[in-house]
Amino acid sequence: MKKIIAGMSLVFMCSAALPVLAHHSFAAQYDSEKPINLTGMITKVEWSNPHVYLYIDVENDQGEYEQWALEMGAPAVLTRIQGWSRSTLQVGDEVNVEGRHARDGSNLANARSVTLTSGETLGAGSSENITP
Amino acid sequence: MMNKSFSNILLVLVLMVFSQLVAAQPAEGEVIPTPRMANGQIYLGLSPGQTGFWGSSGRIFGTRGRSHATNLEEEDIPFHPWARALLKYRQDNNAKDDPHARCLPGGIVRQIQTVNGFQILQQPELNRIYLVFGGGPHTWRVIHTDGRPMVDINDPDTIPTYLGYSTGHWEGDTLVVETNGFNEKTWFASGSLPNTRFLHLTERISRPDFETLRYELTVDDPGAYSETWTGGFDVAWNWTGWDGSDKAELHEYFCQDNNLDVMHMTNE
Amino acid sequence: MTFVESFKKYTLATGLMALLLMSWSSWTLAQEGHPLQGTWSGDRTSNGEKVRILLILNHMPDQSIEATLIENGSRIPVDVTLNPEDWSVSITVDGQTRSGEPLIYSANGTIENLGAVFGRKIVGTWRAGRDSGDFQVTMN
Repeated sequence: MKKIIAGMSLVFMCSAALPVLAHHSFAAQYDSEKPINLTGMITKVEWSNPHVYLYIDVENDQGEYEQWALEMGAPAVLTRIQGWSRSTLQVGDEVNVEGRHARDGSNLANARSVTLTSGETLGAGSSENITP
Repeated sequence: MMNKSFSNILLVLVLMVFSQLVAAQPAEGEVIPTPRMANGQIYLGLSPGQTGFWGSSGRIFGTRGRSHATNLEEEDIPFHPWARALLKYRQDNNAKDDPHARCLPGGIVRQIQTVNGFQILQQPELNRIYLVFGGGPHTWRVIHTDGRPMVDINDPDTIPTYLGYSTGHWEGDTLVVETNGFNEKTWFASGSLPNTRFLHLTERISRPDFETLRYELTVDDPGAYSETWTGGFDVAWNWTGWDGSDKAELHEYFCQDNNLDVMHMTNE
Repeated sequence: MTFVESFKKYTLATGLMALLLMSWSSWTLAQEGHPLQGTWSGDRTSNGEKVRILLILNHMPDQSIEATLIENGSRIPVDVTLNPEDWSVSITVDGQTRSGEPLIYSANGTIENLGAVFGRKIVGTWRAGRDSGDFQVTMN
């Protein structure tokens, strides 16, 4: 009986934890069929819950700079699973980001990986494959 | 056997009546003593058999509401010039840019001062004290009483937060709480006061009688203030709900629900 | 603690956490500390062309401002001062590009939209001898 209760507790705890990991639908905001690859200089890093946000200036075809916002995973996911620390990204660094473009066409994307100035590529804790 | 059962029933009835007497609003002029746990520690919030929650308070400067008479006046607060100028800007613009109006958490002082009350829940067996806030975005705050040190704000892995990182200990009947690790996304106390990430707050919280919570604060923020300064206020116990009912519980309130005010806020 | 008690306790804590996280996602965040603290992106106009600039400003407890300018890939420490009486800002650039060329100019502007969630700017001009142009950066 105790094992059954323990097992049920584990199931309930896992299901209760899901809202923390996926509080909104990826598919409602981003398009898995629209991959995007951006290179630019980091202008800001918001290292906070629920998502770390990376902002980069990207030069467009007209030679003008546009700011892009890249949504990443939560700080805990990035540090414990993906190997990041809060100081991994530095303002002024050039990075390359691979991700999925926002459905509304704005300068927003969900990042899948970030290649740093050092050449190292780290996973970005994307919520693409997490069911809300 | 019959006598023992009757005694037990009588004891239960007496306890039921007594608990209701304990929870009843006092008569005018009557002072109910500070409630205590079996180990002597005072209850800062709810205790068994009670109803109610902490309600109206004051400011850490000036004499508004239940502010302490010893508080500094605004002109005597040791602002750095930019901080005083920023305060004036906020006041001149009717505080229209207040993050709290946009349902972001206030600082730890602001949350205590926010309308809709709060509760203090003590878990001495877990070395934690929770403050649960009825107003604003329905936040809660935890104070650890396990002796942990304050965080190092210069550590790049310390994530600054709205409510900081609190560690507390008891000095007699006063809970002393040290908090740092704040972000710069909020106005930490009522009155549009600015702060920086260097903010370090020391709260002294006591309960001189059942209906009074005494809150004394030391502000140490070299980024915004040229000196450490202190202020405080009392908080009154609420015996009735905000709707006037006797069932005095924190009611459901989510700032984010139908927050139409913010789009109409102007400095005119 | 029984299963029911532990389930209730965990669900309450998780539910509160989820609500707190959702509230954070409902509004963009403004910088409420020192008005210059943070990173600013923009450009200055030089010979009719826009030069992209990034300013990294870090306000310190001693009231100094650690400032770095990034222009054309070069990182240069600069001096920045704020006059809170009129929210004017002075920026003095006196350094070298990464290729060793001198980069010297001064910029003066005023903070606009001081309290806004979006669009806090420093708007002004830059000057180096007889050369001058517009200077504008927006807080990121």
